[in-house]
Amino acid sequence: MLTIDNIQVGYGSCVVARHEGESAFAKAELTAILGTNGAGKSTLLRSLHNGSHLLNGNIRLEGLDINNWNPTERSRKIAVVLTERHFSYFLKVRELLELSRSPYTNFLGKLQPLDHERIHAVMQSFDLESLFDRRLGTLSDGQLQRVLIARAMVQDTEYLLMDEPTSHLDINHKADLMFELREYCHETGRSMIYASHEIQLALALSDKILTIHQGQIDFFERKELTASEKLEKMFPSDYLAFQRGDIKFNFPK
Amino acid sequence: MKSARILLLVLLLLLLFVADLCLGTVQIPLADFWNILSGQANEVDASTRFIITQLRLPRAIMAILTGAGLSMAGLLMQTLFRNPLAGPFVLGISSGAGLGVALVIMGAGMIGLSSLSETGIIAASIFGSLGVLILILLISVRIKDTMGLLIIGLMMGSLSSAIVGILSYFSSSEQLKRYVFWSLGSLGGMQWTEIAILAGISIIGLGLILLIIKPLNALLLGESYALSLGINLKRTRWMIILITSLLAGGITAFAGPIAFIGLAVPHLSRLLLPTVDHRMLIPTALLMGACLLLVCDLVSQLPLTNYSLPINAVTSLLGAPVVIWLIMKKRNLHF
Repeated sequence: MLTIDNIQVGYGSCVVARHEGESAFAKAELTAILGTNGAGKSTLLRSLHNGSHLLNGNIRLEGLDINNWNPTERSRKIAVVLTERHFSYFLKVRELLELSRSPYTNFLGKLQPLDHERIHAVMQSFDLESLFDRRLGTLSDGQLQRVLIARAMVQDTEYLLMDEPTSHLDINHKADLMFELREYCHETGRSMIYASHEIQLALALSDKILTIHQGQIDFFERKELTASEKLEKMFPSDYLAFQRGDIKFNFPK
Repeated sequence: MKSARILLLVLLLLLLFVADLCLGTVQIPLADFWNILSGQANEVDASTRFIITQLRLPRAIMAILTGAGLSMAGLLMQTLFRNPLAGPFVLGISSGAGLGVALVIMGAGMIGLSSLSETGIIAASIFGSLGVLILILLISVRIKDTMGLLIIGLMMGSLSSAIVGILSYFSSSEQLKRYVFWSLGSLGGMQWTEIAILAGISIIGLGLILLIIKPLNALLLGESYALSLGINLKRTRWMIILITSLLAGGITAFAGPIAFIGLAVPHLSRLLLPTVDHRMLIPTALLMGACLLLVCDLVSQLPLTNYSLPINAVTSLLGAPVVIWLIMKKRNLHF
């Protein structure tokens, strides 16, 4: 169980977002984080991962403060997909996935049969076998994004934290990938928390929605959110119309 | 496949090692060399024996230690800074060592001290390089831009040489000569005890590298991902700094500043393998660095003549074209 308790996240002395009271990210659920640019989605995700931007309050993983987790133990619980791409583009996809088993390998990083099994299972389910021996520098943005999500799956953790996992992906890949991830989470009892700009997809997919609006972090059930006027307030535009009770929006002008 | 290439490098190293012992201003027949190696040294005349055991053997071992150590320092810097152009020389670590040595050789005279032990020079070089490395790292925490870091490294070099310039203006010609000779670099003239110290430093450095092979590989994913894989980033950073200072500082202290080996060898190794996995890259870079410096030493002895060139000039003459070639073929530049 990952819980947040009266938290404030931000940089230095500048609070970007806060949450009052205690809330939990439940097991086997997908939670989408929605908010406009700069609302603090990535900041919240980083705080959930390792407490790095937590200014006040408590984030607890299985009852223990996130800051007090041993890094290796934590890396067996939480995997991340980030928007930054500072890796060596000379790495092969295979090497990237093998390195992602680091939480389970010895000090030289030697892989066991179980590690290979996990890598191959993920490669198969993501349909990435043809990319196995390609260098990261030769992949397209979309292929790379799928590889990065597969990388997080290879780490085999209870929690998946993803920052804009669907960026760079075609609409069919977006749909396939996200619905398959949901199925996987529901079946295996994993939890996924992801920040997204894809409102429609997030509404169709997620069990819960976390909104960050005017510095306030709130949790909604999907129906509850679409029935309210929250989305119109969060994303005000003269050219955009949200329909209450529906997950769709349209462009009336 | 990859192990075959490493084995090939081992053979090449042995070949170059023997060549380095036999070739030079005095050519030594392979038979004499074999006699000394197999313990039948009294069949060889005394001067040949002296040349091999007291002059060429120490210099060849020095070349191997220096080439291997500088390559390691360069590889570690490139991985830490995620920058293919990083290296002990480019980031000003050698300049820091030079400043330390200049302070000991020339600065000591200015404040009225005269005793300049070899140990003092070694310590000054290690502290000089450690100081620059820590400064670079403190700056790198604030500046994520790697190009900025390189420029700061170059500025460190300028600052160091400015201070060295001021120091040399006020020092005696004897002290100046000693510093200039140190800065030209030399693999020769080493006592066996000095080589033993450098070998000890190198072994400690290599042993410490073994402890961080996994973090080094994780750093290839960038610091944030490395952190998410359970890597202790703080410890890894300081280990890399410590090892690099030990190796680059120690080598620079004994052999003087030697350019380009630390920058070029990791790239040549990545191209040879080709992989960035440190488990393969480290042994390859060690062997390749040793081979390359043996070649440089052979060239510097100018076989068949009575002249020999300063080693730092030779590595620059051979190394600069290699680096230019790497930049021209930019797709081959990785970290």
